[in-house]
Amino acid sequence: MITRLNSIAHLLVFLLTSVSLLAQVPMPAPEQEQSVLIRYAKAHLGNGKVISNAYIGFQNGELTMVSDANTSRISVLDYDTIIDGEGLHVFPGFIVMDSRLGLTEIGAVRATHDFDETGDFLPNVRALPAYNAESKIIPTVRFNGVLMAQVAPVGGRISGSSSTVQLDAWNWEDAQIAADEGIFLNWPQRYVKTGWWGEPGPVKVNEKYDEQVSEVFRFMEEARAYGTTDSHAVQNLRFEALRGVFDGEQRLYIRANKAKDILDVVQFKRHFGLNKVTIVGAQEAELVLIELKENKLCVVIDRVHQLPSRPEDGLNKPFELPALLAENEIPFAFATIGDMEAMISRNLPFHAGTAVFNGLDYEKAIQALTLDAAQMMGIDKHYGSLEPGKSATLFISTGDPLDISSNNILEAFIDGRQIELSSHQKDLFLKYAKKQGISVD
Amino acid sequence: MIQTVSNAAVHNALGSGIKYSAIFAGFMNRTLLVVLFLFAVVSKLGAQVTSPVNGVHDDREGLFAFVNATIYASPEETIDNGTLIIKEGKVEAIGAGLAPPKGAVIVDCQGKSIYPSFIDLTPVLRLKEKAPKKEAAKKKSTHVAAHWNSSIHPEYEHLQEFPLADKVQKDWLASGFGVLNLHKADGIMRGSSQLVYPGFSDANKAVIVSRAAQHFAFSKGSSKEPYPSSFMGAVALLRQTFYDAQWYANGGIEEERNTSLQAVNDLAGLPSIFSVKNPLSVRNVNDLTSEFNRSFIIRGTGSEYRLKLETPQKLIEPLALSKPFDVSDPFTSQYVSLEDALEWRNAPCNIRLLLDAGHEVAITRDSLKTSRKFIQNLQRVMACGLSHAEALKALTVTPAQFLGIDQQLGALRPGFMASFFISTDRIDHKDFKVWQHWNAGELVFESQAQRTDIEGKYSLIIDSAAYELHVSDDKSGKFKAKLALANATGDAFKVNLEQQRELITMVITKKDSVDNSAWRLTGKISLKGGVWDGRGQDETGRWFAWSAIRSTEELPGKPKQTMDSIAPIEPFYPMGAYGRDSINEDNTFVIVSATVWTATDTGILEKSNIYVENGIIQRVGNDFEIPQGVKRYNAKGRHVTPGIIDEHSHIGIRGGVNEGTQASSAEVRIGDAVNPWDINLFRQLAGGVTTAQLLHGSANPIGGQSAIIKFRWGKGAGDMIFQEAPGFIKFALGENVKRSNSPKPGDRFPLTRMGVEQVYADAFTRAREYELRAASIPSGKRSRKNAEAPTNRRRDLELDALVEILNEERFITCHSYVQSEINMLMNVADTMGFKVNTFTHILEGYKVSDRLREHGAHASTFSDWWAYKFEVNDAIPYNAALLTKAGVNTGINSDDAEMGRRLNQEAAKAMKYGGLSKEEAIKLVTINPAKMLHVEEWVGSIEVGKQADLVIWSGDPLSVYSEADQTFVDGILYFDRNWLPEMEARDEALRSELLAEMLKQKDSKSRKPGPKGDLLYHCDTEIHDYTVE
Repeated sequence: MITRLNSIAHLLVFLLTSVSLLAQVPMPAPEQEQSVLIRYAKAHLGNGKVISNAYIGFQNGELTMVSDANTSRISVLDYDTIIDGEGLHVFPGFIVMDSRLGLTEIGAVRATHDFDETGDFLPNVRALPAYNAESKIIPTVRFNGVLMAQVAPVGGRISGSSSTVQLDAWNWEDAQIAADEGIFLNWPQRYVKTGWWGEPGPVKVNEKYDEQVSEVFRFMEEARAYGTTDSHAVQNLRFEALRGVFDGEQRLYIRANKAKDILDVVQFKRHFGLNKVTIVGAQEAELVLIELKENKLCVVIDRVHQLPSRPEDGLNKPFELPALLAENEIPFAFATIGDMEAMISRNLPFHAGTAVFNGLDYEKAIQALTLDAAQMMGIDKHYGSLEPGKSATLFISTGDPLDISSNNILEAFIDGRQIELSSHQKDLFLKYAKKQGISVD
Repeated sequence: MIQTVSNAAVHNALGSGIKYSAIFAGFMNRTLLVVLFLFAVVSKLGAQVTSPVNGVHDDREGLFAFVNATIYASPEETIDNGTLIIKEGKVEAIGAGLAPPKGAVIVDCQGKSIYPSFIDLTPVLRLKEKAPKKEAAKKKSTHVAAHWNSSIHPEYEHLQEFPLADKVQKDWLASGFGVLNLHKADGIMRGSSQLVYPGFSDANKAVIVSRAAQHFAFSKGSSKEPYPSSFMGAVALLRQTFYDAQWYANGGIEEERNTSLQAVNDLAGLPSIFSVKNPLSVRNVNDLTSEFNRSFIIRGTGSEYRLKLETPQKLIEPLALSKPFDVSDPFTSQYVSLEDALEWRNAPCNIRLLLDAGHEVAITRDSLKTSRKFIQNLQRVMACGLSHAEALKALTVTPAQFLGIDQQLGALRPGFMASFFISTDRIDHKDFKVWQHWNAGELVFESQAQRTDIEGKYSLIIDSAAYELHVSDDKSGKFKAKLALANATGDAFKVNLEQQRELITMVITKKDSVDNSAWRLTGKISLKGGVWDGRGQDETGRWFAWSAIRSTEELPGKPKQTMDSIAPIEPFYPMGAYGRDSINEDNTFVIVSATVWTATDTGILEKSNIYVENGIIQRVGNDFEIPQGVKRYNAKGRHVTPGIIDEHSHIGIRGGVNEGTQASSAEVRIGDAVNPWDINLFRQLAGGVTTAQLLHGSANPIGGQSAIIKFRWGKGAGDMIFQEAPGFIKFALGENVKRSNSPKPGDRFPLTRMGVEQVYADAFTRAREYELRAASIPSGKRSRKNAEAPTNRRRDLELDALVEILNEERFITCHSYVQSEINMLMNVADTMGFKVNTFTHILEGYKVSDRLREHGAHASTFSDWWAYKFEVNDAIPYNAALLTKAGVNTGINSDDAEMGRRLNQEAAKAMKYGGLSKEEAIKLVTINPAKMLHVEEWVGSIEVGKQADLVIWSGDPLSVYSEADQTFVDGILYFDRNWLPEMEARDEALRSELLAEMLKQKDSKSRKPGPKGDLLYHCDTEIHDYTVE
């Protein structure tokens, strides 16, 4: 009888708490008020360096100290909170590039899609105002160490502008780190897939390739000409939106995979004298490494976990691309473009882990997930590595976050704010564990 | 033209003899058919003419003697200086130096060859199939008592296609084909063909046999019926129709009239020709052979050499020589796959390789557009090792034997039909050309006026000035000429040349002339083209004499006509990237010093050994003596797990993964559509996968039957089947079966979860009734005496599968997401008395684990997928751990070709999400799926007595930092990472070699390369054109 009462009481408590929790995205953390010191953890700085036994201090959202505990002296009294990090690891928050986080909720429900605008040349279209900070997907990505994202549109020839956001915000305005830092261009494809996903057709030669490339050139020529003066009788929002690309303020991200398409992008870059260009995809980079390097192009790797495109390709070819780029000193960052791209970005660290197993230096992988991504987006002054003066956007992990079973994030901070690592998925887990009488620790 | 006799009576008799035979159709067999045919031939002398004659009768004996010829009377008999005497449409006599009888028209064939007419069993007379007629496009009309599916029309007789266009007939005769077996290449059961002689405009003369063979294919052609939408659906439809025909013959006719089923039975004695569009479909035809005790002649694709066929086959092969790819761009040429390059390279060797493997092969001209193209291809194939006798056999005797007409046609012997052609040379000589073609004793084709070959270099003399004239064959039946050297004044000339029989006309104008100077020449050709002479007129009207004399020099820059002889590249399996030259079947070995993940209660054993003998695990541990003299794998620092088992996979399937056109398609079998050449099999083998359930998609509530395979890469489709595994079937719930996310949902029931329940209720109600009826009906023939006795039982392949479920002989794997539908199906199952074996995907399984446990269902789920559709909104990555902890046998599956090669890592996610131990995690992809597939007796764990499906990992198998080094299936090493450098080097070297060859042969018609769109099937993939098979 007593047991029974107990269980009912449990259930009541459970229901009460669950009502308040369930289906809710955790509340964004308040501004950092207390200073924090993480001591004796192994710090992976994001710039390739490691401090095995570190002091990491931060206050008002900013790192105040990152130093070797073996050689530095500090006063613990200077800190409100001390986290004992012995045996733990600290990393800068990971960054996922060319992401649809916050722009989509459910793949099959069109009403939740805000990433693919209609039209061809849409540089003025902005991803940022469509970013839904309340997306249920976001907390499920955060808990694996991904704390920032570049949100980018995908439609048309020029899709629009991307922005960098941090993943713990009330709204898109709070979330933004760098608004409209880049413009995305879908380079015409020499080969096009036919059919739709449920009824795929064969790949065909794109007969209109040359015409489409000319269109891009023409549009950009006009945009460049427009940008040379401020006095226009008629304002053109599209051309206005491209000014930053020509004056070097904004980066142009060009999605291209085939080697020959990349060569065309190289010619395009040279023609317009653009200095900030990133190739997104670059699956056939191995054929154009010299061109990529000589022309100072960087790369966003679309997805490490994918199949080789040709039957003859090495079984691990996509896994080896990051190491190949690193070896050739071509800067790169990671994305998870493709099926379920928003949701899958929580596996971004494991994609990097696969790259490490396939020849990429570990700290270089961390750098690609942090500082190199930040550099690409022009936010490296404040983000991307653990250095005094930079934002305290970091996480503490019990183990190696790049391997699945050891990825266990204890705490995460964005701009010094200690964020909630729960999610509706964890809530459902607890709720039904309880219903099914399963004990969880 | 030589006048010919009318022999209509002969053909009438032949044709009508067969027509009568239809009366006996039910009993008819092939022997009887041949007997009737013979009878018809014998009785021809007494035949009467049925048509009235306008005017005076013009009967002739048709007595001709062809003398001084080289006669290839049959593949083995060559008669030099031969005489062929024909009379009344038949061969009267044949031999060397025979004296022509009195009254015979003598045809001098000096320097010429005589061949029996070639026989094409599957000519395609149009490049493209005719656009379906409106009537055909419609669904079956309800007032025709025929098969319900418009791709099944065995009753169709190919009569209306005759007469053929004159031009078409002539071109076939010009390619040597004098006997054509015409059928309509449309549909699955295509009906019967008629054997005709081309060259006659009167069908009464042309038709040799009006029902010569019956034709089948897996392509549904112009049928607008949605079913079948997949290759496996086509197989099922054929099987069901054969069963229906048996039922019809055994008394079904009392229940319904069906001309189609009647026709299936009527035609049973005819030779059956089965056209396939993929060499892999040969296996499916052979399956029909064993299931229905029918024999088929297979009309292949031109690359059947790629198969390892154990039994000799009767094959009809096209000379499908494809154009090389344009590989001038090193970037785009990388998209030319090794497989495509090999197919191009080995195509001319197909028949050679097939004959060497002991098969019987007939050649079909297929859809080759022109006779010239056919002859070119034939000569190319002969240059690659097909001897004259072999080629001739494949064009005459073999097709005649296939059709059972080899006592009348296919050779020239006394009594045989006088169907033959006279050619300027042997078929393998570059100057081969059909001069005359005779069919049934009549001249039906004569090449353009026995045109003299005037190709060569001439010295042209006009007004005693000499010019050099080059005449070349422009390959379209015409010659063109040019004045090679300008005259002394440096003028360039343009020449127009026309040849009509033995006369020649030329117009020579100055190319850049401002004046109107022109010579017009006409003259005659003498001495076999060597000398021309005649008169000409210039622009002023002045007449002059001219002459031209051919020199012995070759034309400059004339490409050599000789064909390169190429030896085939020896087939390996599959013939493409990472194919295996041979498989070392050695299956006794020992793995030493490994960390062994047993996937049993013994957990993980450090520093242990595994001894495998004859493919079976004999010892595990470190307390036994390692046998000496057996292959030893040192796994020090490495880990060994059981082979990974993927409960839900769609790789290795061809021709569609969904037969979603009906709410239930329980009759279709993925096993029919296994594609052993899918590179993803090898890629997953390299990811440690040894067994997978290849599942039907999820487009309908009751899908198709699964194939459980072992990854025996390098073997055939049949060899991949996991023989011990029981039957499974795919069910599906939710958005896919409701077609929620389809752009065109249509009105196929069901469109809601409410309807889904009713589909099951209905299907199993019908299955129960079917089973009861079956129990009460004796199989066999209905007694005509007792009309009250129940009719024989119609075997229904769909209901058979459902009854198997009721009898626990077939197990369900049900695609499912939300708890309501999961509970619904368990409710239906409880009510109807069956069990749901596995819920696959089951992303809300954690909500209903108690119910699953109660029902005894297994769960196979994704590690962390969600957010891709509305019904996965509550999917959580903790699912697998929660289900496991609730005592439900749980697995992690892929449903994805890429993820399938990292399933070990996916299992690790259950440690991260929900805290399973390593030992529990590895079970999610080994013993647990083995249990749900009912194969745990043989695989899934490392235990004594189990099949040695093992993986040696470079490190911790649950880590992203390790990979499979070796994968064993049945104790046979099917993957070794150490092989890769060599395999890749071989592939690259071979590919480069072939590309270099292509570059040499490049011409304007070369194919443009492009990347292959890998057709990766998901649950949701529906295709509407599976015809590539």
